[in-house]
Formats: sequence, structure tokens, C-alpha cells
Amino acid sequence: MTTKPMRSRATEMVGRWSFRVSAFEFGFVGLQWLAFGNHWFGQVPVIPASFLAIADALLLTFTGLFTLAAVVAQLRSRSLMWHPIGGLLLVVGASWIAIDTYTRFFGDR
Amino acid sequence: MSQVASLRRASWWRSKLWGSVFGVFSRGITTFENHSDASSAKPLSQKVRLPDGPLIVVANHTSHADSAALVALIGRVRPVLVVSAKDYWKQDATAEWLSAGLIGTWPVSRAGHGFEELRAVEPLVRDGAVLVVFSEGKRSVDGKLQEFHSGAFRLAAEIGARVLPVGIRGNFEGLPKGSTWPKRLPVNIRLGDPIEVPADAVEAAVANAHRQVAQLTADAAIDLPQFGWSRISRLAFGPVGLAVIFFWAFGEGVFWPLIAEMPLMLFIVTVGWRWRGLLLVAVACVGSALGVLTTWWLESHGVTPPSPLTTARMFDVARGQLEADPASAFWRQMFNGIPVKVYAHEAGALQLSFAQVLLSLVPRVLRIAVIGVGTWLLGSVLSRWLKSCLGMVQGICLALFPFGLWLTVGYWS
Repeated sequence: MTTKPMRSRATEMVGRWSFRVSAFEFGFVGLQWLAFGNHWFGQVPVIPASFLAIADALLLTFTGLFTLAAVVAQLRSRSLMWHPIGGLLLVVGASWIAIDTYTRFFGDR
Repeated sequence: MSQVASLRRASWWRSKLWGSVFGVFSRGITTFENHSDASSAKPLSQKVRLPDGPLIVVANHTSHADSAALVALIGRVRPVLVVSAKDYWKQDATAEWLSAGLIGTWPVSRAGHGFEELRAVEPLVRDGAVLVVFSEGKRSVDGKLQEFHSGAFRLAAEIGARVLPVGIRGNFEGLPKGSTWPKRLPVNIRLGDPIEVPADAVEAAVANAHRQVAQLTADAAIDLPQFGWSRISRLAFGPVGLAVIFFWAFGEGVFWPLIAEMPLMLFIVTVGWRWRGLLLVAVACVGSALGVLTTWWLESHGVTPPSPLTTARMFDVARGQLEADPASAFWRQMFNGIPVKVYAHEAGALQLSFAQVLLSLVPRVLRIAVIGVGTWLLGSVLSRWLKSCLGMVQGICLALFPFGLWLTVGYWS
């Protein structure tokens, strides 16, 4: 006898992709932290910093909302995978790193 | 607001969403309004002409992407609803949200009272909503056209709607049943001839639509560049493109607040492996150098051109760097966000010689050349990807640019 799965394929797919997108964003933000900390773009790279800060603001907002939606979807199905939880933690970490990077850059003039 | 008016608005947004998704994850959607005439091909950004009055679109079904493709196409001209399988798309909240929210579906049972549920959509269709029905009832696993169910045709006969047969090619190859990641392939949507469905000739209409859809899906999808790429490429190869790049770069050296690389990057991605790319770079370099020299000459003769979106701190920093070491000052300008015209102003005010300013232009020209050639090579390598979504990519970049400019000016305030 088979039991009916509690979540649909769509819910599982959204959960997995929330983790993948968050992991990408975490890596992207980590690279920026390294680049600005080690002056890979020079001493005062205002142009790269400005555009990367905007890209991060958009990507982190999107990723955060997407990951939250994935968590909520799985909670509503009463069947939670680890992916969206991991994704949420990565987004929080990425946001912390991004804020640290850019408050230092734009605050330290 | 009436139900159809809100559906019209939602369909428009959904069409933009799915148009963007297809731009990124496929090589774009091309529609053929007249299937026997290749010149009737239209990129997605050009509105398609649909028959007036109540309309039911009957299409082949090989992929989840079929619904999205038709919403992307139809949603920008008329409100659209896609008939979906209730047992599949109402399994849980996520599936329901994806189908109802992102596609705009009309769920119908595949067993039991399906036609009664389909019939309930009649007021919306009468008020102008286009109903999309995949009459095969499920996705084809081998890409071949299956038999049609008659529900859509019976509904059309009851409400006096016309049936428009539509053939979709490319989605089966790009995202067949069971796959989770799409291949980047072109998608073609071919429109057939509208069919009137008299109440006593439903079966004939079913056979007619099946025959038409079979014909419309017989040919493989053709890969055509989308609207943005075609337009920009035409500009890049014409004199207008050269003039825009030259005067933009020249203007940036004098008063214009937007960087010289903007139009260069905009145009150069479309030229491919042609010498035109080097010509565009050269024109931008010459324009920028002449602009800087003009500002230096004007300033050294007591004329100060306007400098919008600059700050006093920018002038102070540029002056300090030029006084300390004129040769290295322009090198520092490369990524620091201070416009080149500020350095040109201060070079004139400090009465630097023509030779000094000419020498200092090396990093300026180098930056434009590196960014220009880099974008040229990148555009050539990514041309297959960019042909379907260049307009969207550049639209996003242009929309974000003011915020980057604001942060840059803010940094130096």
C-alpha cells in the first residue's frame, strides 16, 4: 500500500532551489567581502562597490523572499525538508556579510 | 473592477514575467501569425493580432512551458486563462499558487464533472478573456500529437466562440515531461486559421483543429533574434551608432554626467566577430580624449563648462592628486567614480601643459578600450544567449544605473 505524499513536486522543487539560490548568493557576497577587504579593485573602487551594492540589495531581497516562501510552503504542507531552512540561514549570513562589507566601504570615507 | 479587467491586468504582468523567463531560459519566442508565410514572424515584444470576439485557443501540449509560452504571447494583448488539470495543479498550496498566481489557470477535473467546470468560464470568455485549452488532456511523452477531446469545441459551440488552433514547437525539445531544467532552444508559436463551431458540427471542428495543429507543429522551430538585439545591432552597424558613441564620449569629457562606456557597451555586444567592434571602441576613445582636451583648453582660457552631478570634494581630491603627481592622477580616476571632466577642469585650472594632459589620457583611453573590447568579446561569446534577452538585460542595467550613480555621488559628497 502506498501513502499519498504530503507535499507536491512543486513544493519540493521550490525548497531545493531556495537552497541553491541562497548558496550562490552567499558565495557571491563572500567573494565581494574578500575583494573589497583585500583591495582587488584598487584603493577606492567606488564604481564597482556602488553597482555590487545595488546587485546585492536586489538579489538578497529576492533570495530572502523566495526562501521564506519555500519555508512557508513546506510548513503548510506539514512536511519540512532541510533545504529551505539551510537556505534561510545562508541568506541571513549573506546579508550580514554584505551589510558589513558596504557599511565599512561607504562609511569609511 | 470587473473580473475581466483584473484578469487583463494580471495577464499583462504574467506575460511580462514569462516573456522575461523565456528570454533567459530559452532562445526566445517567435510567433508566426500566418503559418505559411515565414515573413509573418514576430518576436515576442511585438504584439500578436488575435481574432476578435470570444476565442478559445486549442494548442498541442508537450511541456509545462506550453502554458507559460501562451500566457507570454496572449497576455499582452488580451486577458487569458489556461485550463489546467485540477488533480495535478491543486495538490497543495504551492502548486495552486504557481498555477493560479503565475499562470492564471482554470482548474478542471479530468474525471467526472470536467465539462460542467469548463462551462463555468463562459461569462469570462464572453467578456473577452481568451481560454487556452490543451485538448489532448495531458502532456505528450514522445512529442507526437495525441487525439483531441471535444470539451473545448462543445463549449465554443455553446457560447458562439471561435477556436484558434495553435502549434507550439521547441518546448518538447527544451523542457519535455519529466525534465527539471530547460535547454536553451528557440520556441515557435504558429497560429492557424480560426474555426467557427456550429452545434451540429463539433466533431468536424475537432478534426479540422487536429489537422491544423498537426500541420503547424510539423516543422522544427526556427531560431530568430528577438526585437532588442535586432534594433541595437542595426544601430551599431549604422552611422547613427557611431555618432551616438562619439558625442556621448565627447560630452562626458565636457559636461555629460553619464559614462562614455554606456553606449559603447550597449552597441558593441551585438557586432560579433567583426572589425566594427574595434571601430566603435576607437570612436569612443577619440571622442573621450577630445572631450577632455576641450575641457582642459576651455578651463585654461577662463571658461568653465557646467559639471552636473559632481561635488566639491571630487574637485578637491582631483586637484590634490594632480598637484601631487599629474602622471598618476588619471590612473587613480579609473575606478574611483570621480568623473573625468573633473580632472580635466582641474588640469586646466592648474595650467598643466598640453603634453601633460595628452600623456594623462593614456589611462582614460585604456579604460574605455579594455571595457569596450571586453564587452565586445563577451557579447560575441554570449551572442546565442543574448539574442533572446538583450533588451531585457540592458533595460535592467539602465534602470539600475541611476542608483549606482547616486551611490557614487553620495560617496564623494
